[in-house]
Amino acid sequence: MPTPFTDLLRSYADLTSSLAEKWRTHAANVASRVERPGYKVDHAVSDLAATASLATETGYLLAAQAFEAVSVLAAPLERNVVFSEPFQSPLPGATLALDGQQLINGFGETLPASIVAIQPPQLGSGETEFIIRADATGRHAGTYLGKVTTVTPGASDHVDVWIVVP
Amino acid sequence: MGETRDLVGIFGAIDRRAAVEPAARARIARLLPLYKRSDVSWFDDFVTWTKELRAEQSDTEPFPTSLDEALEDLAGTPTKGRMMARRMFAIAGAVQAFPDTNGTDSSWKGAAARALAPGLVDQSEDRGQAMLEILGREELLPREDTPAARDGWWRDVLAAAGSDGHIENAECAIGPRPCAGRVSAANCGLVATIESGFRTGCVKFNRACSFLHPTNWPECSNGFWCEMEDLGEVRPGVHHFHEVVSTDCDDQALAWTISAELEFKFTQHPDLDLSIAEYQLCEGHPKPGDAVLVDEGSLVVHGLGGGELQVITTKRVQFNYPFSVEALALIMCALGYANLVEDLVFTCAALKRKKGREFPGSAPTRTVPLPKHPADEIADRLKACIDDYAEAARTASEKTAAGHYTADDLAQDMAKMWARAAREWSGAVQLGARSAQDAGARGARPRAGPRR
Repeated sequence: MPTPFTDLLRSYADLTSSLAEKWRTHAANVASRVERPGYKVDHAVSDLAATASLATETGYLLAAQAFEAVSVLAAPLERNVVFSEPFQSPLPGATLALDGQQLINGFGETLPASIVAIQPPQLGSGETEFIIRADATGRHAGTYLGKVTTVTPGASDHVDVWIVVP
Repeated sequence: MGETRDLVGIFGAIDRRAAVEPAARARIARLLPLYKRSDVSWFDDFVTWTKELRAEQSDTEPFPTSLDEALEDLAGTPTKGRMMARRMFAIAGAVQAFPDTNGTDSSWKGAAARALAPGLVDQSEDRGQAMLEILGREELLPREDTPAARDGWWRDVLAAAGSDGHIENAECAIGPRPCAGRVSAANCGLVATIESGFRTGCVKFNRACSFLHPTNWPECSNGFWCEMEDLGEVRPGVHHFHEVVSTDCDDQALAWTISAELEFKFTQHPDLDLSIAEYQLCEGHPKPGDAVLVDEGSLVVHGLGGGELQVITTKRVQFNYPFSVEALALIMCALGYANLVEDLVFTCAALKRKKGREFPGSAPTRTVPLPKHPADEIADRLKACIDDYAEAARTASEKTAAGHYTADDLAQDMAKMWARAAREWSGAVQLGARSAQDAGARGARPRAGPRR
């Protein structure tokens, strides 16, 4: 009986078979052109560009298939948006930004900066309190640590921050 | 008999009552709001699964078969700290499930009073009767369907018990409302996520942290954690623990008993007064036949200053049985499995003279990174590929501009791109297969769909 896993393996086999055919055709075309008299630099550049295009297409198709592997066999994910406890900026009214590319937990799992938001990113005049928000959907549970840079005209500082992903 | 086994028996009697009596279900939902849904039940499935887990067939029931039997067992069982809190909460639920009405049998109330007595001053049955009345007192019960209202009910119960002299220093001896965690779902409603937290001034930061180490747990959990054996460091700073939990550690063969292989990482952040114990299943788990498919989370102790602590516990859990998230959460409530830190703080750190163990956490450091999330890994591979192709095109363009690009160069560049594509091809297939295996393992279930 077909299962999601066997379906997935079959789709990989189909994809790799069609890619192999594309590469074989491309290589044969280039080889036949190179051996013809009058093959010039312009032709070579054009063939190289076609190769790069095919290689990129290969990458995209394989990536798409890998995504498909995850989506076929893993259930759709519910959103897991989490908020930290409040933190205090040492600099009132500062502009806030994540220091570095990510928050990290004890096992080395990360919350990349792209899914982490500092709220508010710009503190109001005299204000110091902010929180961290993260869309941790699909991320491992854990307690993620990092630093936030606080900047005002003429001064900057750091705040250690943490957020629990349940 | 195991105290947890009897508590499961009480919660089980409540569950069966809710299944057949809608009015009782509505009353129970005042304290356990998961019962607001009319299709939520767990106990019969839990009994079935417990029997399946046994290595040998037995006709012995794993849990008390009636409310009376569970209560009578508890009547002779000493208790304190969080186990007393759970006992009080379970009996409060029973009061809602089995109210006094014409024609109902209230004989269980005598057994309930005797079951409460061991955790009260003088351990007297009279105080047990009084405590039972407080637990069912209508004017204290939550009037709104909110966690704050339920917390208020629990605080009022403890205040009344304290002012009547039934419990000394109830705030520190009993602690916050049991089964108060926020429940959510992951993986299409098959993984339960339970998050709970509380603040307390009853225990100092360092003392609370000294009980976080898993080797303390068997002594602090009143018989639920049978083993937490440290099998050594598997990666820098990461320890492998063999965990065995049971509703009756003294009779594991007949009780609900499971084991899990867990990795622990301990982190201390002195600047933040923060101690963290994180855990997850060991690499390679779950394996076929494992009872636990998902088990990961954090225990966090945070010093707030002024002698106050904030404690946060999170747990993601899925068993190899198709329980719904609501059922999993109610099982966690009955077992006390997701609220370990309450035991560590209110049973061990606050009450016992026992010395803990220095928290082993190091300052935050990057451990050996585990495999990336598939989406990140795929994106990284694609970017690296395209960067390579762009670099090849740039070089070719420069050579072309200089009039040096030849058929040999083309052959060489094509070969490089082919090699790169072939390498990524293989990598992508492996990545996809690995993701598929991970997803398949996460989704591996012997039965069709979740039960409510």
